[in-house]
Amino acid sequence: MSYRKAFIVSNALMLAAFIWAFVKDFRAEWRPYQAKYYEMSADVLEKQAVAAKDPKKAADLKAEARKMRRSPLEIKQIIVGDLGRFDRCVTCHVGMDEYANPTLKNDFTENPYKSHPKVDAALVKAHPFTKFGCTSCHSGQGLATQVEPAHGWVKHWEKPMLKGVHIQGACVKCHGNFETLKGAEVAAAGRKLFNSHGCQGCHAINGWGGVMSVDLGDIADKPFERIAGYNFKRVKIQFEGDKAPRELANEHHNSEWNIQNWILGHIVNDPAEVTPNDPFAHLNAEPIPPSGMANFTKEIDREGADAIVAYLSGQTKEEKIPYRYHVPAPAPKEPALTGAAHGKFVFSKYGCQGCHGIDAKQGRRRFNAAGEGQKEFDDKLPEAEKFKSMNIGAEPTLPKLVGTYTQEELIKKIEGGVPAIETKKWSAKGPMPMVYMPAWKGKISKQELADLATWLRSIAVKDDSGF
Amino acid sequence: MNRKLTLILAAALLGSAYAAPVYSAEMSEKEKALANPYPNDFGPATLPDDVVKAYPANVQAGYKKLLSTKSGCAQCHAAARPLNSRFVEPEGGMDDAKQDAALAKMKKDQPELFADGSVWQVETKVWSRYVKRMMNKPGCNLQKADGKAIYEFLSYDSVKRKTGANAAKWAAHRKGLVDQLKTKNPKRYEELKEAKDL
Repeated sequence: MSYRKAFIVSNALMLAAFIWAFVKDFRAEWRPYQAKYYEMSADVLEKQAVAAKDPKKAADLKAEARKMRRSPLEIKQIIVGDLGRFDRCVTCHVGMDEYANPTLKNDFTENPYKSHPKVDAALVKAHPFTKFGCTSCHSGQGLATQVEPAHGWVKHWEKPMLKGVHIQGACVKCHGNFETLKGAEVAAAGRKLFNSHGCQGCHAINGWGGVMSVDLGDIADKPFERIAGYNFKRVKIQFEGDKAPRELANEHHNSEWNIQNWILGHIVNDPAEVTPNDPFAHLNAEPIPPSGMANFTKEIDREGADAIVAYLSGQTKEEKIPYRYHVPAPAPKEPALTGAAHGKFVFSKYGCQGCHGIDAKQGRRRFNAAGEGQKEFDDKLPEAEKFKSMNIGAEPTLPKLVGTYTQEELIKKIEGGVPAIETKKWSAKGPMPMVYMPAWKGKISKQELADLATWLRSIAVKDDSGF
Repeated sequence: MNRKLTLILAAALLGSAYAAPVYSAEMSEKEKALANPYPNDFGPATLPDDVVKAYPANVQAGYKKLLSTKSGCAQCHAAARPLNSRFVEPEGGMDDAKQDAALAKMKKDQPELFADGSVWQVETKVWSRYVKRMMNKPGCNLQKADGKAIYEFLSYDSVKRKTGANAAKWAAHRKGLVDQLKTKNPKRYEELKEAKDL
């Protein structure tokens, strides 16, 4: 091919590319939404003009309607440099654009046309969109201008838009005092439930709490590649409109595979079913027990589970929020208690109920540890039967045990903990139980320990052993 | 260069494999005990026949129960752990006042029993507490009657074998066990010493 021909062909290709780009942009997904918004707004203004008794006002409204109809279609964006936000959400959600809709109010009821709810509320007023953008609170992919990518419902976008009450996690990100804030009640209830059920006994938040499992201080940043897809498929959740809990649809590409549903799945399902691992060593050299997390399905209802998800959705380190956005809170004030009453508080404060049950009433599951009601071990039992017995292995039920300790012995036991290797397993061949009693020495103060031991001894069942 | 790097990596891998304790899922109770041992675990898991035969019938029955791997202490841990324990429960059985009196008498007549905590830990109700504690652990199949029989053996045996005329023999035996721990597992020895658990 001669240079002349090559030049002509490349020019033709470039022209085609320009035309293709122009057509693609002209048919962009956001354009019809924005156009329809202007039309709907203009219709409203015209109706108001017809109804207006004052001719001048009617003329003004008509002029405004005309202007609205002639509004150029354009990408709109809010740039919040210090929060790293470049949010184009208002390109479609024009009712939430302060320039197109200065009052930030309208009567439209459907998205993307309706205005932001509760714009007069202190919470919204305190977070002007021009200062905070949209995704600082809602998450999603601010730069995108198509529906699914913009809401974060696409592969590799790991922070999709927070739905429903989960958005209160956004308050937790900056407000140390979120538990006292109006509008963050669900997240506050989530934290309360998290602590009252002893989650902090195993999961620290930013270093405060137990060491048994991962620190959840950055759980909202957990990448999908750290969640095995086959585990995600075991999560069953009942969403609004569903008749029964169902599996989440597909992988990664939709609005359901996200960290919120992963957390929720651990509370509304038995975690041992979500993460069963390999207790019979079919795939590994050594058996691996299922998730050590207790089954909270009978203790925490869906509302409570959503509240915990809201609280944990605010646990992020990835979002580098400048310090000046943070609202610190004083350390929570502890109740002025002494003796056994204080000991009961200490039990709950450190999350002991995560293993030993609320108020120490019933030891929770400890897979393959010895427990009540298990069959006598027989290697010939079918695996399903073995699994049943392993699955009712339990942590000690403290009122039965604590009466057999002196005050000093009990303090020493709590300080020293119990390593997993000292556990009596139901199946010697089976996996080592996942959870163990950590050593609390240096973590609980001397006075707290003394009061905890006093309370524990006070709940001991009456000794009827006859010796 | 590459060869040198490979050698260094191989050495590091071998070193870490040697240094890291590997706990297999399936370990016998003896193996588990020795992975995290007390001095007791280095001692024998049975008593000499002549010692047992000299005990009353009910105490002998308690001893047999203790050794049972199905329904006794040995279902959860090696029998060596209680048999070589430093615990001594003064005579007196269920009667607190009698035990207190026996303890006072021991303090007066055998002060050496209170001199070295790693050899003797003389305490009222100590075996009673421990046997009940074990009985109440999740999945323990020890029945009340069996627990009582084991308690009767342990408390009787602790006085007979570890005090009075047998005190010196016991002290030698127990000190030997502590020395074994110190030699075989110095880290664990220091750990227990610091926790005053020797």
